[in-house]
Amino acid sequence: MLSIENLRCAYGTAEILRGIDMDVHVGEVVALLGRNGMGKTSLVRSVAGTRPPVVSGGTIRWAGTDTTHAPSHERARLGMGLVPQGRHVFSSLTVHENLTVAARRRQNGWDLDEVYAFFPRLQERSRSRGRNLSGGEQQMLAIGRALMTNPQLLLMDEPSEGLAPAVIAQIRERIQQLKGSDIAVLLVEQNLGLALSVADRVYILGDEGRVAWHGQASELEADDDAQQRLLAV
Amino acid sequence: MSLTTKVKLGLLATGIAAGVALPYLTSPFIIGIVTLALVFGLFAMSIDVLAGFGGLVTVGQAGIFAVAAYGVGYTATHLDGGHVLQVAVGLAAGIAISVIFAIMAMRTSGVYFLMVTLAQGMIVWGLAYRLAPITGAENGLRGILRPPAVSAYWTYYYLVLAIVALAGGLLWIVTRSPVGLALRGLRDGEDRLRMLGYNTAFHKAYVFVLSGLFATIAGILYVYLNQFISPAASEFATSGHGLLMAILGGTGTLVGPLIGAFVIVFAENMLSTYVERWTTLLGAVFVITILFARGGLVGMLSQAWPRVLARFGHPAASGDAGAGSPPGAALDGTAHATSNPHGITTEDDQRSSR
Repeated sequence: MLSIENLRCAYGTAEILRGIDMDVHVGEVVALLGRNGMGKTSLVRSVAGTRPPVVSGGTIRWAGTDTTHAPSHERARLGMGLVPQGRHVFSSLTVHENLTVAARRRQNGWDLDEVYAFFPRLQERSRSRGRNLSGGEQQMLAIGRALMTNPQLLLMDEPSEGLAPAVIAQIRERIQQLKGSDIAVLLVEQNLGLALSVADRVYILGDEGRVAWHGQASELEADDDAQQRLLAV
Repeated sequence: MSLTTKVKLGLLATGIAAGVALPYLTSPFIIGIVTLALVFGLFAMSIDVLAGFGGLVTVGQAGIFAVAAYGVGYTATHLDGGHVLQVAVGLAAGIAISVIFAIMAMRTSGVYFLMVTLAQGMIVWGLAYRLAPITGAENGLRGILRPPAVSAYWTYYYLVLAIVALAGGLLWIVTRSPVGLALRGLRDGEDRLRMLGYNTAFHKAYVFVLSGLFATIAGILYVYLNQFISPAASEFATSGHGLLMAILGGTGTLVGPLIGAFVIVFAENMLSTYVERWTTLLGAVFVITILFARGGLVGMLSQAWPRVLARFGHPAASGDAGAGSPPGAALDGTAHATSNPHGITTEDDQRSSR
């Protein structure tokens, strides 16, 4: 379980998050929503240990370990997998190499064959370099690469960003497939429809750097007021 | 499309056969230059591992090269050690300095890595001048004799040929191993590797020492070739030369630096007889390479290859755009052979224009 308590983080002297409390349990998909600039990506980066921002207070505990200040490679070894915003695949490596460089074996876990079965398109493109993939393929590769590390917590930062509706539908299907396996998913999204269709629970960040709303996805779906107040642009 | 495996193997076999036959075909003078080119080829390959594959542009590799050479020279001239001891001290000194340099450089990248390695090279150069009791300062160390079995120019040539071939083969295996894969990942983004669980600082240090080991071997071969070592070997220019050879031949290819070394060493030794300002010429060639052939000579060849095939009516003259290009993007991030001399629309083009 991921448990975040009173987390504060800052870019230089500008504090972005001012006391976040959040839990993500194994087997559930939690969506993190909020308008642009509310600190969604900062929160995910703090959890993954990618700098900046710098965590200035509070704790992040994962699977019983205090990982608040652990280096990111140690967090990855503890079972966190990041699908970063903007995909960030290895552009000069082939699809096959992008996946194998990430591989960390686990009994009955993800391996190359499983990832190729999950995203058949990646197998078709296995010999192409990252830079020659379309946006959707890069997103599949970023997800596949994170799965190759056999994470128990998958952090996905805006997987739908800049993708065609047909591709988003495919990504949605895959996240739904992940749900219920022994994996926890924290999904940052701008796309409310996608978030509501896959998430069990939702947290919305407000403009004070705190959680402004949280509850079941179905509750948010029915709560027009919260949607208007916290998400409408 | 790259050169096919068959063609590559053919070229390799031709190269080895030519290497073995050479002493029967040409003069001792030429053999001497070829031996020097092989030594610098290995040196440039060691730079290519860091700069070409990992995007870690080093300009201090001559420091490691020279420390190994001085290790051999000092043992030979001051300690009267046998050849086994000389080589052992050379190896130990080169590896030790690589480890120290690696620890200094492992937390830096980009231009900071370049500056750290520059400083490292300058330190060795400064010490080579100042530590006269060990290095002989400007006079250097003379009379470092080769082992009797390889004292003749042509036997030493065969030794160098064998060691460089072996070392090149080992480096080729390294670059295709998981270590090499992560090294190439490093070039695309250190953060990306770290979030996959790689301790990138440690990984950099590891590759740095590995590269230093091959620079060490080159240094030892160099000192026995010249039977003399002076601070000139540790100069910035030596590191720069090595980097230039890698860029001219094609970074990220291993065979490129070897070809680059031959071009530059031959230009240096032959051209300088006819052209007074041959370094100007070399500079011009370098600028042209950077501007028009970022994949270096190897990149140009693999780009031209499909055209050659097409001329002879070979059907398989197109393919995946990226796969054939040498990863020569170390220094600019974008360079790659653009695949498509015939205007045949590949799948890649269709996708990117969608």
